[in-house]
Parts: sequence; structure tokens; C-alpha cells
Amino acid sequence: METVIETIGLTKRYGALAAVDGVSLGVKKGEIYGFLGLNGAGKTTTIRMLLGMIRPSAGTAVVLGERIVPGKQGPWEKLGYLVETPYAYPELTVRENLQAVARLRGLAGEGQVRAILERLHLGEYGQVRARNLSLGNAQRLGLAKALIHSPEILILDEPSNGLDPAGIVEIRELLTSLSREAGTTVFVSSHNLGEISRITTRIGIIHRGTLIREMAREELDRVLSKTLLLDCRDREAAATFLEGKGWTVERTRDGLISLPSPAACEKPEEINTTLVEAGHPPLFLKTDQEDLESYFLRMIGEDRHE
Amino acid sequence: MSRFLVPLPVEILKIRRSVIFRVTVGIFCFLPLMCGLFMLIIMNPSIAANSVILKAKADMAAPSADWPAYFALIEQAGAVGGFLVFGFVFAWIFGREYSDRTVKDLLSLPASRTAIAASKLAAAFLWCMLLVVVAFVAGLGIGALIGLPLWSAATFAGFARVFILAGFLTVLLCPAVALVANLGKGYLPSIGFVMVMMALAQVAAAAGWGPWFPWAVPALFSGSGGAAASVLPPESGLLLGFVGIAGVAATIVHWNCADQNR
Repeated sequence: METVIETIGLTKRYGALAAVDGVSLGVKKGEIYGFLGLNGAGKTTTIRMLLGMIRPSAGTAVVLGERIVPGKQGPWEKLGYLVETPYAYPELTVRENLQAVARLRGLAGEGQVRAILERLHLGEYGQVRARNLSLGNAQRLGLAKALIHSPEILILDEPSNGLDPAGIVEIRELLTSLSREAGTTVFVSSHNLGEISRITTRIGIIHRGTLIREMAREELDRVLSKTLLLDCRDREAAATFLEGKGWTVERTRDGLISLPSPAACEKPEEINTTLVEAGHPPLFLKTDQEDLESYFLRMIGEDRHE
Repeated sequence: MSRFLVPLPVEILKIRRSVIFRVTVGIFCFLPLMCGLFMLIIMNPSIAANSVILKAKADMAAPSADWPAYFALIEQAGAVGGFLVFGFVFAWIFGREYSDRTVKDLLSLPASRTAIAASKLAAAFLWCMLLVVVAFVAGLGIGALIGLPLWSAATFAGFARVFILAGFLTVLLCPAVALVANLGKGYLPSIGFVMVMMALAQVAAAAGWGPWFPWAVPALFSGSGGAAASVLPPESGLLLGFVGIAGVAATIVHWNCADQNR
């Protein structure tokens, strides 16, 4: 599949500090690429370089086959973006803000403005001045500005900031439908790792300016560690019994018995039978998959120790 | 419309909707109103019978209450207030994009950055020249309302030439303010720049270097330094033009080349 966003050794230094250090990644057409990192990891700087807002100290960014050079025209008519918290002209109404973007993007007529107002549920706020919008609706307006021209590529920096849970679900569904129905490529950064894991096809993890891991969604499922969790009436005795059988046994914060072994997760019925026969019948038993937050923290922890 | 001015209607919309626009129009109506008040006081000293200060100021401002004195007063008031207000206009048009954090929405668009910056400069220029026209028309209206004596076509033509040309010369100094707003990423540095330039213009004029200091030229041309000082060498105009062109070029280059991380 065609690569539509590519960075090769992308680097941005501020004096001795490397805000982004040799990031090389590729995003294929139609993908939803999740770009994860802590605050200050280099997500926004990378996005700004992709958008030609800041000049890389080294390396290149290529979008839709065009090398991005700040100040030069890029493939901007095919690209929509939202960088950090969206801001609009406070004295203009929602509709006027969108009309302004439409004009700057060379769109004729009111059709696209009307359509995007409806799509982002901003119709009733059309005549409201942007300064009077709630944080959630301001975020919607930012997204509307990014989507008004039906871009081929959408670059979003923390798009769910400020949205309530319903709004987050709405954005998730919107991005998924854009990718599936319109073939839009989405490059989305977020600290909301759970949200990312639900909608992305691939993720990249950036830490201290370096891309430390990049993987497909399916691969993520494989690398997330699994644990068999169980509980018995006599936890100490059951844990001792399992250790005697050669299992590595850990205890969770709330005292549950945890077997952090793929073998245990593959044969929970055998462990159940063994425990029953030994007189420690489990009160419950389930396999538990590490969530993306935990994986992320584990990854950057490993990176810190390297 | 030239592709360089495609964003111009957007800039004009933002200006029309802003409170700042109405405030500046108010200020430029207030200037001739104050000049007219001084004329009234000189014509009818009893009006300011209870305010010795007002009477003294009016006497200092103009030697007589007639059209030539009134026009001269408006020209001088415009020369002093012009750079302050026009500088603020340029500072606002560019600086607000940083203060409101909307600049990032103007950078990666089919409309080029040169077009965006050029449209902003054009919008600021139009705004300032509109203020000149507002003050000009208001000045004529207020003068007629007061019923000033000594009207003549030659006096009117002289006023029109000096006032509008001084306004134009003042606007030429303002792209440098826009550049400072961009370099400083907000209004405040550029407003500081306006204040410093105004102070330096006073010093330069007092020291006799006014014709060689572009920021002093419009006021000297308007007669603030006396009739003799208003005759300027051609180099003054050339210097001022250079500052204007350099300001426009540097602002456009900055928009195209500088890192935009706000």
C-alpha cells in the first residue's frame, strides 16, 4: 500500500536539546496511525515539522510524495490538521470562522460549511461567536476546520482534549468512518492511550524525542503481556501450592494471585483442575491482558534503563 | 483578484467584527472634535470660563479660530496620534494571531504565506487610510458646524494634501511594527516599539536630525516643527520609503522562513 506520510531521520534541536531525534516512520494510505508519547516527548514538534511549521535540524518529512519545506507550498489542499488546543477568531461566529477557512482553502459556496456544521453537530451554534463556545464545542470547531475540505490526510494533535465521554466516542466513530468510508489517512497523537488503541491500525511510541517502538494493532495484541488472575479462600496456601508446581506466582495490590505466564493463560482449565484436586478451588479465574497504558509505561521504563 | 490578495476578505471580515476597529474610528473622530472644541473656546472664551486649563490649552494649540488654524491643528494632532494608532493597528493585525493562538491555522494552507502576510499588510493599510478619511471628513464637518471663518479653496487643498500625504507617510512606517509583532509573537513588543520610536522621533526632531529619522518625518511634514521645518529634503522621503519597503519585505520573509511554534 502507498506510503503517504514518511519521515526519515527527522530531527529538531533547540541548542543542546533534541526535541525530536532521528524519527523515521511511515504511514500508509487509509491507516489510522496513533502517535503516542508523554507530554514533551516530541509529538507536537514532529507534527509541526510534518506541516512545515518548523524547520527540521536534520532529516526530511514527505507527505503525499512531496518533501515538506517550511514556507514552500506543500500538499496542503489535500491535508487537514489540528495542532494542540484549537483556537478560533473569538469575534467571529462559528459559521464565519468556517467561512474564513473555506475561503483560505479556495472552497466556493456555502455547501461545505453547511455540511461540516451538520456533520460535527455544530448547526445550532452557527451564529454563536467562537468566544462563547464551550471547550468541547471549540474542539468540534477545530475539527470542523480540519475536515471542511474532505482531506485525504488528517493530522490531529490530541483531538479529544476537552471533550466529554460522549464527545470522545463521537470523535472515535468519526475518525473510524473517515478511514473506512472515505479512505482518509489519519495521523493522530494522543495521551489518551485507551482511545488510541481502539481506533488505530498502527501505533508509534515516541519518548524523549526518539521513536522507541512502532507496530501494527495486531502486533500490539501479541506484545501486551497476559496474566492469569485467580482467587481462592486460602490465598496463601493456594499460592504456595502453585509455586510448588513450578509456576511463578505474584500477588496483585488487592491480594489476588497472578500467574504472569503465557503458558498459564493458554491452559486456565488445567490450573483450575489442579487447584480443585488440591483442595483450593478457585473462587474465580480469568486471563487479564495488560492495557496500553501499562505497556506504554513498561516500554518507556525499559527505554530509561537502556 | 490577485492570488496574493485571496485572503484579504478574511482579514477585512476579522477587522469589521473587531471592537478595536470601532475604537480606532472613535479615536479618529475624537481628534477633530477636540480641535473643534479648542476653536470654539477661542471663539467664545466664556465656554471655558470655569476651566482655566482648558482655556490655556486652547490658546496654546492655535493662534486664532479660523479654517487655516483649525486645519493646522488637525494636521499636527494627526501626526502625533497617527503613528500611535496606526502602529497599534499593525500590531493588532499581526500580533493577535499569536496572542489568540490562531497563527498555526494560517500556515499550512493552499493560500501561500506570502499571500496571507500581504493580505494582512493590505488590510492594515486600508484600515489606516480609512481612518485618515474618517478624520478628514469629520474635521470638515465639525469645522463647518462651528462656522469657522477664512475658508478658501487653497487652504482646503493644502489641508487635503498635507493630511492625506502625512497619513500615507505614517502608514509606510508601520510594516516595521508588523515585523516586530511577528518577531515578538504578540502585540506587546510591537507596541513597545511604537513608543520607543515616538520618543526617538521627538529627540531626533529636537536635535535637528528629524529629516534623517523616518519616524520624525510625518510630523515635520505636517508642520509640527514649524513651517520652515516642514520643507524636507528628498532624502527624507527616500529613507521613509526604504523603511516601508524593507518592513514589508522583512515581514513577508519572516512569515515564510521563521519557525512557527506557537
